[in-house]
Amino acid sequence: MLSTSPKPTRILLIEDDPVTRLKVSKVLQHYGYELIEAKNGKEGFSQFIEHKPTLVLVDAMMPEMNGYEVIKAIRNYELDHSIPILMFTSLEDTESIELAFESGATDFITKPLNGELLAHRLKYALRTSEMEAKLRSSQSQLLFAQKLAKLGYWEWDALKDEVTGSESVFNLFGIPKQQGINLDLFLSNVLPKDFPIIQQAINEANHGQSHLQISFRALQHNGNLTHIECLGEVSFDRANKVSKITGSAQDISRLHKAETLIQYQTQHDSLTELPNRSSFSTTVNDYLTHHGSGRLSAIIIFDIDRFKQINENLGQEQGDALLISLGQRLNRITREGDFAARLGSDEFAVLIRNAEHLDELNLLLNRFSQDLNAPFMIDNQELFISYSMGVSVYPDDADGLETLLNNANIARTSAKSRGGNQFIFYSPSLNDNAQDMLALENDLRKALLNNEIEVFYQPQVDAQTLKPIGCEALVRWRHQERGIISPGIFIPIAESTGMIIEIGQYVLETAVKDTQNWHETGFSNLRIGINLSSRQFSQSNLIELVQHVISNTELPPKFIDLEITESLAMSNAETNINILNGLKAIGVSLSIDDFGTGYSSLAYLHSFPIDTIKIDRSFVMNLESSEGKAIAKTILAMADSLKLEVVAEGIEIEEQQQFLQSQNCDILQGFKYGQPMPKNEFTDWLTKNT
Amino acid sequence: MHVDISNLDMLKDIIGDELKEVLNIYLESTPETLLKLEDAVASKTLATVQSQAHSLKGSSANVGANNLSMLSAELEQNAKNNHTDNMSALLIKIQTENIAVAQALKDYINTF
Repeated sequence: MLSTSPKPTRILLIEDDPVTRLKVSKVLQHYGYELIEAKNGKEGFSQFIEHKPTLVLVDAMMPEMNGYEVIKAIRNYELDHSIPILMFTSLEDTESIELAFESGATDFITKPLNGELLAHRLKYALRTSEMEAKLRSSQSQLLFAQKLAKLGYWEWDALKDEVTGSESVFNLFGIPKQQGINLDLFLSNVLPKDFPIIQQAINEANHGQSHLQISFRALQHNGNLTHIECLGEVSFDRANKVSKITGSAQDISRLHKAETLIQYQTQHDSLTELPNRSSFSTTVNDYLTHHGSGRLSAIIIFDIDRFKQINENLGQEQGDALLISLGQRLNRITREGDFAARLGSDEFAVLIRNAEHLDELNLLLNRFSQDLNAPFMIDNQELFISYSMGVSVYPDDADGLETLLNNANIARTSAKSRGGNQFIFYSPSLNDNAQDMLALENDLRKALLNNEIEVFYQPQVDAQTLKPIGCEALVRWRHQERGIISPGIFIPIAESTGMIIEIGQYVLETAVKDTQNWHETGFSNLRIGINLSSRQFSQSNLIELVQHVISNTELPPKFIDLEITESLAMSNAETNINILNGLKAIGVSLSIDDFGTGYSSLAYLHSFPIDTIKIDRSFVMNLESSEGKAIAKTILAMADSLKLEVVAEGIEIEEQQQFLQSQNCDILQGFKYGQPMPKNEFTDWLTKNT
Repeated sequence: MHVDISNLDMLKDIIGDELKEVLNIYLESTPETLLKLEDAVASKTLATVQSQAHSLKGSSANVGANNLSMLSAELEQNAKNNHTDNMSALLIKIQTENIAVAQALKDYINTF
């Protein structure tokens, strides 16, 4: 009698009154629902995040976050407004009914609750939401397709191995549109030569790649070839397996015909369809003469190590498939504006335009070579190949096309002579730098495993009593050979490789664990400031991760103070307010770090649900001048009027402390009280200073 | 009638003997609510009067104690509108009514 899904429908019941809670939950269990109970709003929101219910029942009046606040928090968190939320209200209370709808409730149920009626209302709400979900899904498919210039859409359900889609897509693939078409059948007209491209994309999806963009050819019944471009979004189930791929397909044959066949052939390589050598030369030359003057750019030339042997092992046809896949991959992993070409048999080149500085170039190259090193699926087998890469840098190494190409070639030869599987700069000094970065990056990968990542704590004191009030967690890398490595060096590497997410999570967990420890040993008011990086902040499951940490600790969440920088907060203010509201709703405190270094106004910040601002150290250093004093005074006065707590960082001398005390700053941090220190030292510091 | 028995019977049709648990929770939790209510009325802490009366209104309605629920609703409204005059009198009515409700529920449980 419930929905057709095999799992019981999961209902979250948020109700403070134990009698109502037990009654409702008994009744609903009898109707076959699975119940999750929460006895106040805050707990309800946490349970929502943890258990992902299908429907929420929530009471209006409750302590610790009332029903309206819970609904708002949930709506903020899920964004697509898909979960039905029913609110208990009194019949006579029209005001609360209005409020319920305003805050985002789907429907209301009047009290007192009649068991049978309740079950019916629930059934209807669930049925409606199921229909809406279907509608939404088909609408979003349509929207997605329309957005991409009226393309046809397709969807592959990986579990059922079934392809569905629009009429036009089936036409494009030359397959009659009917039910039960599996992927092999759907793709049966794709040119066998191009098939590896698709296999490669699916393989990459299986390894977690969530976007795909490929083009290939299909043979039509009339004997013509169609060029098809597919864009896709991959969905994963909870076990991170591909559950479906949704996307668009477009006939791009016209693009290919727009150029005359002759033109196209003179500029493109017929196998991979990448631009060829002469096209590459023209493009680089153009760039150097017209746009590139003075800007840091680079040319990479690379070839496949032992290609001859690979080709012999695979056979000519599979060898070609490999080159085609490689060409497709190059198009995908180069940035927009970069330019990839095939120079000869297994020889490729990339023009990298505009890097900010050498470190960025190094990171780009590291990224590039890693992406290139991912295995290919050839003939149903994973094939790992390595490359010898030479890099010449403009304007450092040469300022003309010929010399740049030559130097990159020389570097490539030297990479090959050192055994391949590496990239080498033409200029020896750049090599040292790159080697260093590469070595560090490799070491950083092992750093977490080797317990080299440590969390240090810098003391924070109450500005008036100068007694300990908390600390800020700061990450340190204790490299086995090089000792402590500055965060300024390794954080950018961690950011660019994505390792920052793991490191950030480790810091969060460790800092919370250590703080709980201090609470247990008697420092029960200690707060802990933890920085969130931009990568962490843009993770879609951030709130879930934080909730998980909170669920696993005894430490009340209000002592956990998550810090994001001002520039990060402002970078995408609309979305960020939602994320911050979600974090706020699970009970943690929020701070804006490096305040004053961005361009935001305090008044604007007030729309953020934050508790604290941290004044950047540069303001504290400027307190000697009267101008600096005036700025600090203004910030503190405004923060006071907005009821924001203020932490000042970088206090080193008595005068700074006195001034900040006189201006009612709340919390002080800096070398005057203590440097960042390991856990045990901080415990000693606490004992000594309390 | 202090408790609407037909209401309880209907509920019993759905959840059977587990209704006993619901009634027991009511019997266990209500004395505490009433104590809080008494304190709040004595100290004229109207916000607490309002919230405690509100939960009593809900829990009593759920076990078919309609009179008690209505009395609680009245107290909740009075607290909301700052009418403190007959609050103590209303509280006494509620306490008396609840004694009868509790007895009726115990009798009902014994029929299980």
